[in-house]
Amino acid sequence: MGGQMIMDSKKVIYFYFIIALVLFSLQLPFGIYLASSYALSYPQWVVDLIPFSTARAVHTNLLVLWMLLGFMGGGYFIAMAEGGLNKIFSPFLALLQLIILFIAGVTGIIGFFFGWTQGRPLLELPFQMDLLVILGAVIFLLNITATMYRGWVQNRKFSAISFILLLGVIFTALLYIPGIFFYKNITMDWTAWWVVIHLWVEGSWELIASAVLAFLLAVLTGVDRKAINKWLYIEAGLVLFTGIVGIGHHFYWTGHPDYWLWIGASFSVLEPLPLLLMYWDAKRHLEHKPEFLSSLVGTLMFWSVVLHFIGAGVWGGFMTLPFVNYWTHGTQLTVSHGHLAFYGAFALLLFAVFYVLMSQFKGIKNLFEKRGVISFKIMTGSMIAMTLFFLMAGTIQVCLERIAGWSYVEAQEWMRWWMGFAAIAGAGFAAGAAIMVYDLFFLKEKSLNSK
Amino acid sequence: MKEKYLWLWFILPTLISAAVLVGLLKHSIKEIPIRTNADLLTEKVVAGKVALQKYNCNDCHTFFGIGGYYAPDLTKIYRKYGDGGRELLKDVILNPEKHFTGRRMKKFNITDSEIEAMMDYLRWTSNINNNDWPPVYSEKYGRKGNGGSNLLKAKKCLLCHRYNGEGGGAGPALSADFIRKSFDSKDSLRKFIINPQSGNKDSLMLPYGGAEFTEKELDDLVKFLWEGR
Repeated sequence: MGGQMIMDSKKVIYFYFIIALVLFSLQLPFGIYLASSYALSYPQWVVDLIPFSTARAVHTNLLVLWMLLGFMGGGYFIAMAEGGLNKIFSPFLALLQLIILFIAGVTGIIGFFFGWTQGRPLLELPFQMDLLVILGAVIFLLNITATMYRGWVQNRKFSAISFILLLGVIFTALLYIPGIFFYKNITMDWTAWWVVIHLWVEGSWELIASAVLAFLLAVLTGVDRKAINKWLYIEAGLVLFTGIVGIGHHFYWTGHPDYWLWIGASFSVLEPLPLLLMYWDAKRHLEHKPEFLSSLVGTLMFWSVVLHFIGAGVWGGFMTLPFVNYWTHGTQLTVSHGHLAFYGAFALLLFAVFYVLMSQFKGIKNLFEKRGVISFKIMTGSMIAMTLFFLMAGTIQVCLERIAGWSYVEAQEWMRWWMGFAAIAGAGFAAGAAIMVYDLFFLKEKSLNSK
Repeated sequence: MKEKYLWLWFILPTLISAAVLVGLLKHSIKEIPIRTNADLLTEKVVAGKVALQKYNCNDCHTFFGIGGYYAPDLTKIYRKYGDGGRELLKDVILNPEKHFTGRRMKKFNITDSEIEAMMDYLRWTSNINNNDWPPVYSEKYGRKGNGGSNLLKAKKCLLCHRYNGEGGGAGPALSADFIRKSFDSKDSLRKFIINPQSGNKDSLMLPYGGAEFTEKELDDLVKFLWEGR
């Protein structure tokens, strides 16, 4: 029975990754359509069929869904491995949870095409689907907590990584709750919305990501656990210290009092600090084992911390300064920052998790990395190019619409070309992603004569 | 520090930050009713918010700069049209295909009561005190004029006409509302500017075609007047 169950846990986690990758692939064509809508003039029937709003809802919800499923699969594995176990508490519940979340997400996303929506960006899922999501989340929390508990009871093993990971997933689930209600006052609505979105991406998701990063560093580089734990605690503490009150940078123009300009700015300028520490610390650990640093997974992890720092820390931090944000808020500059930050902080890290675990599940010792490296180069190059094109469009928008006082429409005319380039870069990214998804589905051993 | 206590490095800063946030939010949320004029938030105004969410407006447009960047921010859009331009704004929402030819908006089947509620809601949001954002509607930085309104000044239209509170009173004020009522298409507006007497033989306006405008300028001006921006 034992052997069968080991198989099951890993198989279920493998399904999480497969579904995450499928949803990730679906996200990309919608992104290309969105960017191209800025560059081209689609006829009325196309717009009536798939309006920008629907495509955007699909693009962003797929992003949230695939990332959460990826982190959940990874989370199960970490809970199991850090507890010294060879199975999670209940593979069956994990599979059930995957099915529930998949049905909730896909039903919701198909519903968007028929106007079934709550009409709030990123949190469009209708109330009924929210209930399914909560059911899935509760199952996940019970299952992962029980797994960690079993590790503690059986093996006296509960690591710093498990601790941070557990807090991250609990907070992620709790923070979802304020987002499901209807608020009469728009200012209260956005306040609740930011509690979900900001405290997710700059709070609980960061906890999960730093735990995942620490886990990968610990298992793959052989760096001393003590050093890993110390830095994990310090980084996670700093992330939350700056990030929690840092929510203030979203309260500048939403009807809250003006003291948020000072408070938001003061905490936000510190937000890059933990990300810089994370970069410095990860780099040091990766260099501990040079042959790993140059491998595919090492490269993914290295660029994850680099782009996390640049996209989220530097680029995002710069825009949270009130005298910058007054002019740049709600322009393509935000889009530029968002794409780079998400790709660096979460997407690349998840790709590293997929490569490590999926090849391990398949029993691959010496991975054939060529396709993975090519796809990484195409995706990262395209993403950086896309970021720069959005940056150009956003700069034009800020200068013409915000500073010179042109109308929205007139300023958009001058941005067309750059949005078109961004769509082309998006197509490049999709090509790279297609190679990676194919590679992950058909991972293979490096053959001796291919070297 | 002993390894045993390292977790305090994480838990203490987190608790401090969370306590600060909760304290600040408690105060801040108390201020919201005053800054948003929540007393004016009647059932009908709230019905406007429900309708705007029903049609997922916020995934193309932004409120407070949050949402989709595909279309203009709506927080203070009502200020641009005003109560006088309410009917025009309604028509823009109900029949977008008449108003937009480049970047298009989906045509929704919005009911009469929904559109009225939307108007009341947008009128309410336009008066929220949100620290003077966005810049175009700012009291401090204001609308400094765009290609179209600069053209009105440069071509001396404002000697006779009024636009945005500027200009003379000999001719009618150039609101989009007036333009739409007076001309059935952009083409007839264009013909009128080139030779006013061809459209209305009693018009006192001077013929401005040929000499005064390049073709491009004329196109820009017609588009600007027609769209009111």
